[in-house]
Amino acid sequence: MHVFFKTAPFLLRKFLNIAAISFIIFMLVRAVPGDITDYYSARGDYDANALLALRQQLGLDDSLPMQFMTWLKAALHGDLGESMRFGTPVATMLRDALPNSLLLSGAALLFGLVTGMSVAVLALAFPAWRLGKLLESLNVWSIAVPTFCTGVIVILVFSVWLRWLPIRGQLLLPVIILGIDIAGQVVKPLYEELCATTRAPFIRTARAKGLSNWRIAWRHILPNSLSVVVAMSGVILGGLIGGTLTMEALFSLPGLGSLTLEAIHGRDYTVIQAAVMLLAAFVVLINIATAALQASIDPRLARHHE
Amino acid sequence: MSGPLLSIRDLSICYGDKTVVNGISFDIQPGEVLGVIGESGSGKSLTALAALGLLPDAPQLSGELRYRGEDLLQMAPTCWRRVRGRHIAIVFQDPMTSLNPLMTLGAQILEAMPPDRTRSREERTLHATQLLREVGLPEPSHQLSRYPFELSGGQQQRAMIAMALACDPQLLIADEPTTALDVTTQAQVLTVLRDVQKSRGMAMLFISHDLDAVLAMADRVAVMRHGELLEQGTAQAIFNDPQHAYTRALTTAHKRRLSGARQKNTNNVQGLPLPLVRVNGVSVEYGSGRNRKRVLHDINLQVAAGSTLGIAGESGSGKSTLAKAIMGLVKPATGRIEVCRTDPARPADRKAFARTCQYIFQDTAGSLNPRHRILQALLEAVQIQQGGATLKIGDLTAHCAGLLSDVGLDAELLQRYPHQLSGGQRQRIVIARALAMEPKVLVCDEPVSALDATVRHQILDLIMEIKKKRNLTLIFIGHDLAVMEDIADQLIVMQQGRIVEQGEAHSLFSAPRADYTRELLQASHLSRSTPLTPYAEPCANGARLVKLAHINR
Amino acid sequence: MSRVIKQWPWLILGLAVVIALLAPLLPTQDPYYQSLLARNLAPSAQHWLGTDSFGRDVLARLVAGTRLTLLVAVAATCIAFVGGVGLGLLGCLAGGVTRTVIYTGFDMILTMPAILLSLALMVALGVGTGSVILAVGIAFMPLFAYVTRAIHERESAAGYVTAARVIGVSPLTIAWRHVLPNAIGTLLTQIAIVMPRAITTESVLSFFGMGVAPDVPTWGRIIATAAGFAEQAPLSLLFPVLALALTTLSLSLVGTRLRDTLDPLGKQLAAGA
Repeated sequence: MHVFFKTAPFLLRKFLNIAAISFIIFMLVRAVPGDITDYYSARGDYDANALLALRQQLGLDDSLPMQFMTWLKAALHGDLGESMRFGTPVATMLRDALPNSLLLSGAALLFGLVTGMSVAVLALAFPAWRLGKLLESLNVWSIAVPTFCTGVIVILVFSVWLRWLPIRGQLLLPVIILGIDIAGQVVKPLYEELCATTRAPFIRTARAKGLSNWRIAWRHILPNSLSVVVAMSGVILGGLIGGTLTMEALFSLPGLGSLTLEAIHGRDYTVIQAAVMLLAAFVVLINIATAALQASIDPRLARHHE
Repeated sequence: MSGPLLSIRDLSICYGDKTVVNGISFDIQPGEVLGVIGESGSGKSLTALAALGLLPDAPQLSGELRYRGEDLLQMAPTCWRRVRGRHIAIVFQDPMTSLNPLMTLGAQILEAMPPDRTRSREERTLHATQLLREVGLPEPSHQLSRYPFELSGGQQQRAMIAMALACDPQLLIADEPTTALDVTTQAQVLTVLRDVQKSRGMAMLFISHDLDAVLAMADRVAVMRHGELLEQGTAQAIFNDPQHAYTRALTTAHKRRLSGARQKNTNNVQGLPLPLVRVNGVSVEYGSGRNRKRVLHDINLQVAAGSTLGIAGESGSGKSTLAKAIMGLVKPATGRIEVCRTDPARPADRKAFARTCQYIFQDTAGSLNPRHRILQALLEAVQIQQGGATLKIGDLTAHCAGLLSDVGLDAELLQRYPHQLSGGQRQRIVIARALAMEPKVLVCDEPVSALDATVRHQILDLIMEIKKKRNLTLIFIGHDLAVMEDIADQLIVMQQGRIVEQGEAHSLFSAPRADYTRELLQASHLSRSTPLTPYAEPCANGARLVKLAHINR
Repeated sequence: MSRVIKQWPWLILGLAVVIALLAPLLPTQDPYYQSLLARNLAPSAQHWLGTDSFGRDVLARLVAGTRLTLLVAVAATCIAFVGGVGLGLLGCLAGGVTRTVIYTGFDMILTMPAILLSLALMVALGVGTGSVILAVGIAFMPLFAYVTRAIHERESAAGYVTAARVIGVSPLTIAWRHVLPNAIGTLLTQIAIVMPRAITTESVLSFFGMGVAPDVPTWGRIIATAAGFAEQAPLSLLFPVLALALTTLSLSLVGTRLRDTLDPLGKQLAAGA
């Protein structure tokens, strides 16, 4: 594809990014005073001697950098340790939880992007419908109001008041809520970009060449406007991650979000470490994919990355 | 067919209650070139857009606009697609923004061709290659897969011309096609336009604010101002015998350029003049690390007290960087600069240096803080010039009023904001502010390039007058050699960071030694009837194509 | 009258600020007082909005919540402002290695979504009001740093700044006379954009129990407690949600209006960020 894009310095910087973030998170997680042994002692399961032995076994007495190296070595072999609460391998727990979260976020992303892009294009193509107000409100709402608020209101209306849908275990409401949130974020910048592109000089040239409106829209306006959506991927991703966590909590869905939260409450380091790392790696991967996508859409970027 | 190709009668364009074009009429015969000259706001571009139905924001139109007898203004909106590109094509001013940045040149040219089942894709690609060859782009088949940003400004404009020719139009509209380009590139692109027009026998509507270019290209000329058509006639008639006062002002300014009639500034220094400005072996680099670029290479020059040095060059020549180095705004990587025996980059006292050497900017709007009134802008300079002396505000205001009258402006402008003034007025204020510091050396960086033609020579006269009155040493930077011809005693020609030629101004003009100097000279006097000498078109892989061009009258 | 209604964001914002400022003086019940007997009561003369699942007066907690939520948001925004502008300015003026180090650091912070980053920070710092302020503040520092850099680049290139240098004006005077007045508009707008996001981030963190301490009544926390009892006491859930939604909405709208009037540069930044 774009060989000059995948230059060594670029990839190296991204790897350093993941490594640095994982080290920082590791430090942060371990920096909490008190650890899993406090959890056990509070539950009264172990006596003092057993706790000491447990600490040694878990390596909690080694220095922090030492602990990180041990963890890193194991992680690179696919061994993410065992849950301190349940003893099950963390990798398995993640593997079981991940598909659910991917399903929710994937469906929400698809729904949101399709809805957002459709509304923006319709607003441009049919100004008589006056979709501008709808667009504006949608945008302000999703930027200002956190998804858990919307989620709560929706639950109150649809589950408590109208009793149409149960609260727990269903995917429909979370996907719609998250999807509309994403649509709201995307629709206004896309619409403004479409309007701006329509006024661009090269569109005037296209008209002067005698091209049909259809061709101008498909070949000239749309491709030049989509880059703004790709550029927003960072923001969308942030909302998606927070939103998935929230929806899993509100609607009691099994997934990475609930897994992480329960681990945090139970001070289960290994699980927290692995889960947050996974999320971080995911974010960085998406960043790389986005940058590659932008470069392939806009050839100017391929030559002048960074 | 008989009769004019394009016939416009009483065309008026109104936006609300604002009339931007008021009842203009003209004809274009088949194969004829009509040049329309006007400054910004004259409505010339809007007239061109009307001929293609491309006017923005739906104005009210009245009058007739007939192409081959059919009134285009009465046509159904869907019929415009028949006309655009097929019969009437247009080349816009700025090729960088007028080409789709995400589509290859080939795709954009192929798209311009009429839908034609009889020709295969290979045949159409071949046609596109031929078009690119016709406009003088080297390696045409390779250019098809290139993107616009990979080409230089001149190459992009050639590509736009090729695209306009894709359907063999009868009328080509060129709306300020070379304004955004470098001076030497302008000459090349205009040659391409003229060649293409002649070989195809097309009619052309050539629009520009540059009288020189219009006279070089057009058979007949129309003069527009504030939406009115003031007069029209053959190019010769307009040039030799202008009827309207405005046309006379334009042609007079132009003729003075040609004949060098401006009062030559006699060097009134007796004996051996001391060099006030010395530049020895100076190089300047920009950027850091991998991106470090040398923009000036080993510059040596001297400016004698009381004389004028002209520095001529195009964009990328480094002339502005040299000016900034002399002002101390950039530090040279090698060599030494001395202005009045001070190093500008490390003066002992910055304020004292400001009182020896001052700077006139090109961008008048940017160099005045939009939030400050003119009085504030001048006071800032005056207060520094006065040093520690505390004067009453009334005296200071009177002083500023005096500065304004020195540059021919009224004192009441002190209370205005920059955006309320015209370009010419702003430039006078910038000059006044520089003079407030009572400098010995004045560096002018393209001070008139951004101004309208009629205002330009007023400002130049002002600068020369001030120079004589205050016995200043002047360093004048620009790209228009015609202007330098009158002003400069010594001349330096720069290209890509190096000095190409330097010496006494009038000997350089009468007998230029370097090829590039010759190119610059020709580019600034397009309408002179002497045939051009061969010039070179640098192409992508470094080899040079030599192309003979004659611009005939 | 309709003109007043058009300005409703300012009104709601004003109401919130007034309540926040006056909260300790208002004659409400004690928001921390729990009563197991009075759990999940419907609105009554004694409890105007009813009680929550711990028997605490909903209205009192709402009023206290207004004050606490806004306080946390303002404090976090201050930290983001001081840190972001301070370090950003240092990086711009020092140049070279310092600038690269500072802005690469901010780049790394920015790659992480604010929620994830503050979550990680909260895990380290432990639950509590101080920690939330710090975590949210750090998460939003990069935004201020980037605005500072954009302002610096814009003003360094500005013709009138060069003109002042040429006249001999000292750099400090240039900053005060020319740069600062233009920069203030941009910075104010950025504050108005960051603050609702700070409120939102703190609310989400508190909702998950990773924000303020469990009994501290910021809106996020109140919503978390009430969410489990949506069916028994819907009002105790509805009002804090409305309060949060309306306040962040108003703040956002005020922010965009400010940006449109004060600062065209901010628009480009928002589109690019």
